[in-house]
Amino acid sequence: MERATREVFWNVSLVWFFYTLSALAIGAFVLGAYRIVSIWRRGWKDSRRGKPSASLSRTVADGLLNRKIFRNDRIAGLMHLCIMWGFIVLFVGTVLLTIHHDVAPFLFGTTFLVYSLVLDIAGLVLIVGVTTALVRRYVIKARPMNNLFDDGVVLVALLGIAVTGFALEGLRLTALEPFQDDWSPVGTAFAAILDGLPGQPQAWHGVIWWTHAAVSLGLVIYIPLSKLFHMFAAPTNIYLAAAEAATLTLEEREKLVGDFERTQMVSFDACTKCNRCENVCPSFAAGEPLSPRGFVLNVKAFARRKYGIETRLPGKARESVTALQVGDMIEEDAAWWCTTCRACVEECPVSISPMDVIRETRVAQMADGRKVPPTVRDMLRTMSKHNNPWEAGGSKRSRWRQELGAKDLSAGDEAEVCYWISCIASDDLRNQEVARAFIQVLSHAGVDFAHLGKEEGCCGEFVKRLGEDGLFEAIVENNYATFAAYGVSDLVTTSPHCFHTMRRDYPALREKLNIDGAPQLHVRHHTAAIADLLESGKLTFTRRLDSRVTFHDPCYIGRHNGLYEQPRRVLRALPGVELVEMPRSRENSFCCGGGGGRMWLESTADQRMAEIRVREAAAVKVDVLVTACPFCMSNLHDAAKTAGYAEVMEVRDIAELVAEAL
Amino acid sequence: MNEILVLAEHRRGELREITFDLIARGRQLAEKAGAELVAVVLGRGTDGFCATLAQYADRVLVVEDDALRDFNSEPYQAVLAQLISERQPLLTLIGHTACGLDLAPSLAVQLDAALVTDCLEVEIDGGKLTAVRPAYGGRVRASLQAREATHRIATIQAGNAPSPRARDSAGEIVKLQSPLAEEMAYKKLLEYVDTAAGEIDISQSEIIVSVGRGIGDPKNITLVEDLANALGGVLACSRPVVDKKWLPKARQVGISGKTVHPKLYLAIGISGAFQHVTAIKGAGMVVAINKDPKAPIFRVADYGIVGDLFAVVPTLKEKIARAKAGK
Amino acid sequence: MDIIVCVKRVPDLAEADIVIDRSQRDIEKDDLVFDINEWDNYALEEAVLLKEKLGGTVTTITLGDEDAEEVLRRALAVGADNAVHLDDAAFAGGDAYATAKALAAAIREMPYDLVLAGAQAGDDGYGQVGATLAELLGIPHATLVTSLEVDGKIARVRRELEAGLEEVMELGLPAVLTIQTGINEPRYVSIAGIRRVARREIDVRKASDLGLSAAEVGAAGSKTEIEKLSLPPAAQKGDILEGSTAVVAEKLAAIFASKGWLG
Ligand SMILES: Cc1cc2nc3c(=O)[nH]c(=O)nc-3n(C[C@H](O)[C@H](O)[C@H](O)COP(=O)(O)OP(=O)(O)OC[C@H]3O[C@@H](n4cnc5c(N)ncnc54)[C@H](O)[C@@H]3O)c2cc1C
Ligand code: SF4
Ligand code: SF4
Repeated sequence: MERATREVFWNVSLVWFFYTLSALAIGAFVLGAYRIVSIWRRGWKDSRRGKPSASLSRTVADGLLNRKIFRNDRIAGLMHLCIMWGFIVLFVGTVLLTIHHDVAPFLFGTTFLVYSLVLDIAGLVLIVGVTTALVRRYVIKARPMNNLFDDGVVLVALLGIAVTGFALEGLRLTALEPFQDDWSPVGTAFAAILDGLPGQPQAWHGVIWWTHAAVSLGLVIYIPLSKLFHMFAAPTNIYLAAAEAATLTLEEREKLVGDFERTQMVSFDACTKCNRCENVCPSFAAGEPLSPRGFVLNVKAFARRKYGIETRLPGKARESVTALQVGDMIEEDAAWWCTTCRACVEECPVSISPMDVIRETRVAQMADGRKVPPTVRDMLRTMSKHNNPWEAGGSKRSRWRQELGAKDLSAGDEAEVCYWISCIASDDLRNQEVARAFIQVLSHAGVDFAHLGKEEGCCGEFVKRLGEDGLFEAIVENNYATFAAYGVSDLVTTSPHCFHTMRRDYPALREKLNIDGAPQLHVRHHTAAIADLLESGKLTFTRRLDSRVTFHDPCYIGRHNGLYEQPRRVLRALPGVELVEMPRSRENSFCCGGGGGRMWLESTADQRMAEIRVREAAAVKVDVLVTACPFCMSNLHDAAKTAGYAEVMEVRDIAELVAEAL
Repeated sequence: MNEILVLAEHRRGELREITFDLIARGRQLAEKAGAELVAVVLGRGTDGFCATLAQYADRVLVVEDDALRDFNSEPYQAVLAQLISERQPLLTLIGHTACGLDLAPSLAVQLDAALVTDCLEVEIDGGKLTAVRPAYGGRVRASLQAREATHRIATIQAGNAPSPRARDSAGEIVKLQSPLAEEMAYKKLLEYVDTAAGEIDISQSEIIVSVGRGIGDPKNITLVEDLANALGGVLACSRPVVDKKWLPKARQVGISGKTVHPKLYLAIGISGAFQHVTAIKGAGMVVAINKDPKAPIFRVADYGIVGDLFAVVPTLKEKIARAKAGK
Repeated sequence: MDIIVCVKRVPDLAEADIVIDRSQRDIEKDDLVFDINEWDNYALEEAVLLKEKLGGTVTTITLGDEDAEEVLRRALAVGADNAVHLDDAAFAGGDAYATAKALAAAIREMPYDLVLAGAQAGDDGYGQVGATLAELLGIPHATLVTSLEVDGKIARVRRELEAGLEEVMELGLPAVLTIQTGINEPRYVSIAGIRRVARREIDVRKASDLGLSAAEVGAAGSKTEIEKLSLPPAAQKGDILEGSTAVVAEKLAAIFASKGWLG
């Protein structure tokens, strides 16, 4: 029996011409890829190294299995898996075929039959994937997309390659009528369809073969010029991405050359414009002029203009390009609208952090100073002079703290745990009630705690988010000195922002700055602290609350720190409390609009994020919208009034409910 | 000569209010020092002004010149310098106004005179000038003494003087030759511009709720606006609020903004700098809300609340709403 | 276009309780925070904006003790090219005239087309230095400037008058302009920005460097002298309403109601 195989250039003349074209296409591809990689290398290097095992498993899960594309959209996940794996298998098949033809023939008999079956299936899978993509994108418009020419070209080209591939197979089968046809089911099906074509199959085959070759080679060239390059950049980015952006000291930053960290530069090319980040961005949803996708792509364009090879070619006006500042590239003030809610980071399938890219441009704008919004500017000046963001004044807030009746470290008291009250709870009346409630809870549980009284400054969290790293550094040094002076290392706070920054940002700086005597901090958020007290049986509830509540996950305990369960556990333990979830909760929680320094930036949009959120809470018909953050409290409390829900729904901190149930 | 000189200030054909403050002050000083009160009018077509001023001043000195038609510190300085060095007055009073600020310092340098600006009170005793003036934005009072000098000039803050008393018989009007020979070299007035044109006219309102820097953040302004609405009044503000572009210039109360005469002026988070409070002198009732018990605004307020505006304003709004509903 | 900006370091009193010191001629400054005078901050920004538009240099100058250097650093961070610090014990206690005299002596030696100063300072509030300086330099001036355009050797400015009125004036350069708040939107000066200029040289001059004797400057060279500072009486014209927030609000609402304003 003749062994099954395939004649590679069956019916093709001018094979040398094809080889020449291939060589040219590959050359163009390499040049394009080199150009991109050389831009990546203009980023500064983050010296931290992630654990290779973690990076690798993330790359497998997100890169090879598309885990995150499945998030909230299973069809999209399947679709992408089809396209990706169809493409990979076909590509590998082509490489194997080349080896078979030019190096060492091996595709014979069963090997060949399996080979053709696998390729057949891959082709079909690719067609299914691409067709789904086209239908979703252009026909049913599955979700808001920002369609560019590029997106269409890529899909049509892929579809073209797959379909012409099958057509070729079909025509070949028709012409040769070989015996192994039942191992190429799709090819056979195409053969049946194409049987009816007038004229010689050979003639058709020739024309289609060259078309197939042209589109394929064209696509090879097009890869580094289009979003398709994400096939390389995305896994690279997924592998390299750190959980948190690098913390730099002023001194380190002064030595840096470049605008963005290297992985960030990679991430610009990893972006596929899938628009998921925009779909979840609360600022975008409120109609503000920020799209995380748009932002990333703008910065990418900026990086190309500033660092691309083109700008180093003779005859190009280099000066105008090198003179570019980051700020020049971004739509007027987009960077300032980000609430740093981390929704985009959570959502991005390829581990891009638009949030950190945005913060990085804020750092640049801070250094320049001209485009810093006046309200932010004034707040920062107040901050640097008075150590608190409101001109409301040290003497008054420390008086209020004294009135709390708790122990006061600054007055010479001692305690195991330090309750960090936070600026906003000290100056905002509504949040003062929360502080009182939490103190009641701590006292009830017999916790030995004290606050810092007049010595408590501001944690500086929003200063960092706003990109004023120099001021933040000074604040951190100052606070560590206070902690050292009062022997504070164990902290609990009612603000997720204080919690987050002391947990994440402080230690990173402590290590680098070598602050004298700075204690290692153990910081807890009050939701976690209350959950612990509950577990250890220190809280006994005597009062039924009888209410239906929902929990708004503050971004900085939820997405930023993964405390989803603790508040829910506490709420479920409260007698008479029925906990229901809003459609968007936990990882998908919708930001109140208070983070990232947005407390100092008035929205220009028609909608406020907090109002959107309050409506969402009202829709699940609760009496109480529970949260655990002073900024959320402030915003939601206000929004409940302005959106007209003040009568039907209260906004309360979890500590207040707990205190009431005691 | 034993004279107290007072520079009349006018603009666009009208004598400005400050002139009468100066006249009243000058009269007090002249009486004490046994001197004559002399008003100086520099301008063009000033007969009306002179007649008015002659009712109060012992003498009115007039210099008419095209270059003096509108205030311009250069020709003014030239004429005044000559006048003062000729007449050797005991003291020259100028308003602490946009004109006075532009004129007095350079005039003093030219004459090598001792100058005290922004005076609340002035005394001239045996040729010795002493004055009380604000410092630190009005939170401190400074008593100053001028050193021995050939000439003495004081600029006077607007609005602290009684109304001037008319003389029994009109004072003498003396027309002087303009000493200005040629056109001045550098400074030219091109035009006047009204910055608040076409906007809401807060000066017509009966109830004004005014917000100052104490509001802290533009988004808090709605708080005060709500209160204004509850009271059926309009929203106004102090200058920093305009500087920060939180509200348009037309809403600014003060010497460089609007002067207002409402039944009720409610000042919230406003410290009460003189540039602000001179413009609310005509208010029927002034109420101040400020967290600083020492804020100067309480000195002009009929009622004051010492407290955090963020607590007081919403509560007040609620009480007002309730009182209205109760009716 | 060479621009000189006069700046001053003043206490920021927003948060402070003012206490008169023992000499009775000054306030207690130990616990105060200091900053660039607000008006000067606008002047500085205006100068740097002009430079960014027209090219040239910005030189910033201050008279004050060694701590005053921080406002010069800030000015350098904003974009000034040079900084001059008039620092001499002899300068202490000077009034506006003595200050202007020292500034004039220093500025006379420098190239300039325009001198900017704040319309007044938040501490003394004399509102006098700029125009005095102009006369000492023998050049024209305009005070309370709220907008500024330079066209060759001519500056076209708007001056703020009373009651929302402004006047548009033209001045030949060089000239001194005193800047009113609100003329621009001063940029933010980051800590990193200030660090970047930490090692830039500052030109420190004493009275003798300016050819001035100790008798010509400071308190000795002044034409006025502070005798005494006092805190104005906290006495009010009317009533301070007493009680909790709810109570005072109630009282006030009742007063309004009695006037028939809530009708
Ligand atoms: C030539 C010239 C012209 C000027 N023209 C004008 C003018 O026309 N109109 C004008 O208004 N100004 C004018 N000014 C400015 C004037 O000198 C003052 O700077 C200004 O009036 C101060 O405004 P303010 O009272 O709002 O701010 P500040 O003086 O800063 O006062 C803020 C007040 O708010 C209080 N406060 C803060 N927080 C709270 C809180 N939470 N609750 C309650 N109270 C609080 C503080 O105790 C403080 O008293 C002019 C200045 C110059 C030099
Ligand atoms: S962090 Fe939140 S607000 Fe900022 S870009 Fe991402 S989704 Fe939008
Ligand atoms: S940043 Fe990520 S989520 Fe946003 S468009 Fe790009 S790939 Fe999609």
